[in-house]
Amino acid sequence: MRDVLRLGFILFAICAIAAGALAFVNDITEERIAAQAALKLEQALESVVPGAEEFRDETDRVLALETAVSNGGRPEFPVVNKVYVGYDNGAMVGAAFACTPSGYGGPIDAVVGVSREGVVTGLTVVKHAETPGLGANVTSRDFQMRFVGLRAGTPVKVTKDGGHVEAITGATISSRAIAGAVDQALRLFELATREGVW
Amino acid sequence: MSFKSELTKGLVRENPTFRILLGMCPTMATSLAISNGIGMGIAATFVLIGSNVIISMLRNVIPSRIRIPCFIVVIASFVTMVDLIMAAYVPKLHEVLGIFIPLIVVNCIILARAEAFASKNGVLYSLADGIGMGLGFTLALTGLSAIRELLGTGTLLAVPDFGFPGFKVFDRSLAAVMVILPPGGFITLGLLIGLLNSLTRRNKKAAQA
Repeated sequence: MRDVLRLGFILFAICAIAAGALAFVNDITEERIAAQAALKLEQALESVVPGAEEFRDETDRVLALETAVSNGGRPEFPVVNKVYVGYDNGAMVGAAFACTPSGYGGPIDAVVGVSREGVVTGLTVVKHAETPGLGANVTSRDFQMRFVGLRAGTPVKVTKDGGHVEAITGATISSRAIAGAVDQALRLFELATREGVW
Repeated sequence: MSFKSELTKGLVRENPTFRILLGMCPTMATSLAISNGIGMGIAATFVLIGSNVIISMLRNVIPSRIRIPCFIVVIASFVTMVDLIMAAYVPKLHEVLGIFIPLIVVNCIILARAEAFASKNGVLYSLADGIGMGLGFTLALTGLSAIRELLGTGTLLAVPDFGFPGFKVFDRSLAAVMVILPPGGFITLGLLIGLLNSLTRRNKKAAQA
């Protein structure tokens, strides 16, 4: 009995020291990591909506439209998290949709840019945990370019699901996740245009 | 036992991948492209050195009956700290290596070296063991991933995170996709182990004769 207590105490002490060390490291790195993430988002927005000078977070206004079209309370745009509208000299030039579809190795953070005319102008993957060498190719330019130029109005799907976008070999689930994000971004853009949001 | 022999044993003689057959899960998952193999190898080497040194220092404090949970706590904390520090101070490198770091916690090479070596030997030898085993793992991953990348995609040295498509050796349509999928990984690994075994056997025979 005494032995159990002694072993338990040693294990407790090691865990407590480890937790303390982790809390300390987290404390000194937290701010910098958040700043890096903000910088990365800004770069992502600029890369997917070319020509925009300034971005405004208009998520609330745009996603409020969702309730107007939802049927039976099921969200229409579950993967869209944030909507940033890009302006140049006060004129709206496009919108960037920050989406988090589920990939093979967890959620994928992707940003989809749509021009004023409703054409995909850019796509970038900010964060992912897909399999290196297979699903991780969602970050490759070659794959992302397959979506650029697609228009609102036609559903975006991979060829396996009856669409026109070729999936990455050996990574249908990752490709499908990105296709879903682009599809929802385009549909939300179309809805917002129809409702006269911008 | 010498510092040098502890350092070099992981390269060929006791190579963790080809000889001890440890860490098969990350080996299969990351040996698809040379850049991935090297990335995983370096990240694992770093953690291996750190965990070997810490566990060797704690070897007289940790009671043997609860050593495994203690090792796991030490390794997991070390990996998490490396992950956080890299994300904060070297974000570019973290972008490339970041996906491998969580895989290191489940890499049994690290637990195996803690159990079989660091918990029984001094800090200096454990350091040498960590460096040697880490480099051996990196070497094995690089060799395996070079073969798989070449036969599976037709290119060499592609780094998708930097937008570098790699050197094209032959057309992608001629590549055997099976090689970059798990079955191809096991077949390639098996053939490489066989080759290495037959080479060592021949060397031994030559030495005897």
